[in-house]
Amino acid sequence: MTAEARPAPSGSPLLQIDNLVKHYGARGGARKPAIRAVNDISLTLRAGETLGLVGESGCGKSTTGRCIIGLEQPTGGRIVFDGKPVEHGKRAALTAMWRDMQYVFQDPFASLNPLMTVFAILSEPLRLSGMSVAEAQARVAEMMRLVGLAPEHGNRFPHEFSGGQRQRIGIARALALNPKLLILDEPVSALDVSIQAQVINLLEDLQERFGLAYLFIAHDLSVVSHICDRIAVMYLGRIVEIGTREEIFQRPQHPYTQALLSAVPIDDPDLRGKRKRIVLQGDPPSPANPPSGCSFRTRCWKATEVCAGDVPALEPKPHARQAVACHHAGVLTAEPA
Amino acid sequence: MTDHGIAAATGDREGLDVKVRSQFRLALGRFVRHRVAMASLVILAAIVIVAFSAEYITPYSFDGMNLRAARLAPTLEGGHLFGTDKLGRDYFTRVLYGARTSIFVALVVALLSTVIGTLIGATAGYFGGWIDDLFMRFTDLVLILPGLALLMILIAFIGEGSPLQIAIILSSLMWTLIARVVRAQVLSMRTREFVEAATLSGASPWRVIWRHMLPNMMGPIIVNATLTVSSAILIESALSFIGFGVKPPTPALGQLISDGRGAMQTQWWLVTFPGLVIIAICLTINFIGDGLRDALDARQAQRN
Amino acid sequence: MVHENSGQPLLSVEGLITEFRSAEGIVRAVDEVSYQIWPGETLAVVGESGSGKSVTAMSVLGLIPRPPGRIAGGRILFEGRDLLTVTPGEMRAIRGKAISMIFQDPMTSLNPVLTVGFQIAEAMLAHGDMGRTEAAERAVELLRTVGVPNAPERYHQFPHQFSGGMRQRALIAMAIANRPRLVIADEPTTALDVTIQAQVFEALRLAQAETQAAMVLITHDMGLVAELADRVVVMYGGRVVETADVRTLFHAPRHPYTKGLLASLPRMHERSERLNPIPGAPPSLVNRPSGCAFHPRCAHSAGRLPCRTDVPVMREIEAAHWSACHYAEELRQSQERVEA
Repeated sequence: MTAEARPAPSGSPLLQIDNLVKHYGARGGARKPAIRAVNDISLTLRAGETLGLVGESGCGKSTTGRCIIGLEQPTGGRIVFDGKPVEHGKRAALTAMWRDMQYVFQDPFASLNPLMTVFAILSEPLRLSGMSVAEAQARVAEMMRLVGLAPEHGNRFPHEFSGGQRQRIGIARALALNPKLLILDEPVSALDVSIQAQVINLLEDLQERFGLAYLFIAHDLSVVSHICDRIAVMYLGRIVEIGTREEIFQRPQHPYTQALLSAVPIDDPDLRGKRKRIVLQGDPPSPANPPSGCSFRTRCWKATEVCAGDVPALEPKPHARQAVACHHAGVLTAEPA
Repeated sequence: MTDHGIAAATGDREGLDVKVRSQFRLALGRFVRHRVAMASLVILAAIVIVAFSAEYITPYSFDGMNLRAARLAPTLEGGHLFGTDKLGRDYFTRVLYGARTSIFVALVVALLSTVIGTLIGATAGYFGGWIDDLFMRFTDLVLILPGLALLMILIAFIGEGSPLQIAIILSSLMWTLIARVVRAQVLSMRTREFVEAATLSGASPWRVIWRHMLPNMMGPIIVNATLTVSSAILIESALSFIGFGVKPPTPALGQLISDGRGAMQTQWWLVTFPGLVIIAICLTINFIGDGLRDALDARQAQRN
Repeated sequence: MVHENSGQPLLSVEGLITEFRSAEGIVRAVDEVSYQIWPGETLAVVGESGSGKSVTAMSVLGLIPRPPGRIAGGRILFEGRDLLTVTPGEMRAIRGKAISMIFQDPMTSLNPVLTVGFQIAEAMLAHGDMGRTEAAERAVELLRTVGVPNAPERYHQFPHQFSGGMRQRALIAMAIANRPRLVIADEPTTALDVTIQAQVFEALRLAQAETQAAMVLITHDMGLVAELADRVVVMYGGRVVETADVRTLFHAPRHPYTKGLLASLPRMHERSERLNPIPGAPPSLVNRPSGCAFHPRCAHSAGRLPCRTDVPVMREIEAAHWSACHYAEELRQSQERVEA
């Protein structure tokens, strides 16, 4: 089954995020918050679709994921999942939502309770939702087989499994109650390279089989290019570019996206020296003190005065279909200094 | 190509052929290798067994007077291993019963204060905010209070009580260390991924604390509980020394020392033996605590 | 840079065996590993968890804690001297001067209470041949060489004032301060963001150009290998499985593990349906499979007996291309068939 034949997502979006904001460290009434981790993010995600959220450390992609799932409380903005707004303060509402939206953690070692057997870990969400012991046993066996683990190993402890297997246990746990959306926070970054491919294939298979939507948070662009339908590029708490995989990888418009793509190491020694690499000068600014206007301007070779003024809006430009937040968006033509 | 079934794609042919020893067994191994701790465990066990089976060991009762055998130095004649006091009571028996009282009080104090401290610390750490502030200020308050004086007042209030009452009163002031330790552990665990995952699985805060957090902090809790036993013995002995301990005629080690103080020159055994038993119990408990800390700390540090 | 590898190798690891005592028994992390590196070349040592690539480097540097580790056999010849027979004092003199290292985590490698410049200068002062002022000037020069902007100001700053990428570049500067003949870099770009990695690549390239030092690049990142390496050594399960120059390795690998590894990488500009992972997981060194460590995961082996019983020996398949596989020839034949 080719990618093109994957059922096209349709209907109203499964997840709608409007102007999400998350600030840390603001102490009652302070005008200037300490850290703006997420600074006005808007996204939509349709059923069955995979949206990649990429960026480097400090860009706010993990925080965005955590706000959506409810592990963090946003400072502002609206998140609507499956037609219902996410009510962050209310545990009952969140618990109900967690039957349809789940989360896969990055670290396969830290995401499983070391003192619980795999069976106990996987049956917990089932039992808490009211399933009987017998039903839970059957379902756990099914879940383990689904992710490629032998159900006989259910009475073992996490430390007896390899990193890749533990991550599969985490994925199985997330799928326990048949959610519609999975938020995956760097699900393969902590795994050995030869194992990453196994887990990515598994995620794709599961998506095909169950029609899952994925919000795939990552910094590894090669992985993202493989699994994601659409991609949002984040920098310092904002989305700077969002579009389909082809649009982003073939015709990136935002200078940061272009720099990011050019920084990905080559995969063939024959390309050495052939590809011009954009090496960004300077350091990423601190989220506690972002530059005025466009936050990328301090490292951007196209920056002009207008960039220090208004924050560029994320909108489609005339010559490209994807939305870009840049006053000087355009395909990379001139060599950056 | 082979079946694209999900299981085949992940093909885990390695399976679990590596039999790794469980963490519990590793910790046990480490404890056993700690020679001082093991020796202390043996000695303490001996003291506890002897103290609690006093009825079977000595023919005497703790208050059986025998004026003709008064003020005897330790002697094998008549089986007075620790001598007798001014009323002819066998001192070995009295020391044993005294040790029993002290150990009983100390164990109950450790248990109760661990429970109280864990509840307070876990609640404060997990919920944070004003609950945390409230509980921690309360803890600070209890810490500031002059402990010994307060204990004396409380005990005088109930008019010198039974060992259980003394234990309860002591517990009411001795939970603060555990509360702080548990709170710190809970704070650090709150952001651990498996704890967040439990919340996402639908676990209530209490289940998260009970099923996920507490089992993973047993190390520090056990170590501190052990230290509490040791402190409790000392405090109980101090209290009974100054006359605010268990109600006589139930013997207590501190009280025995107090009674024998006047005759220290002539009847040295009256002060020495109870004192040695107190020291022995405290030292062995502290060494066991050391051994536990070494055995369990490595387990906490090693997360896989 | 293509090298004519003639003459004596700068470093020659021969049959190295490094073991560790653990709760589960003796673990052989490095099992008769041999490789050479010539002056001025960049050798990448590639492998995943349990491959032994880092432990080999630590053995060369004399940094294996003993106990629980010990070097149980082999020789490490550096400029003709066996490093396993030198005294600790002599090793210290070599380490930091003739051989220097760059580790993965820049945070813990720099002393937070000393300025960065001072630490670089100190690296030179420790090996004795210049005065303070000269060392300070050279430190500023070095910071410039690795691409740290405003080098004179940066000299006086503390590590926490440097970003992650800059810290790593400062460490690179420190590593080349004494004009080493060999630099060992252990996962220098792991855990760094992609755009920062680009900066560090540049710094490594500049550093090598400046000193003409040979560099051992220990990594699991094939991209880094493609960018910088002249030759590659692939390790698996504590042994070397393939050695070749970088182009040959990428285009015509002759070991099933190398082949599988390269095939499993997601490529940014290729649209493929499914990735091709290697089934199974890297072996635990406590329970290393008998015979060839890779055989349980090897499609090429197809369960053949020699793979299960005999440890394959490194053989020269073609000029300067070595592989430890019983059936390496079959790989060559199938490759040529594809190309035909």
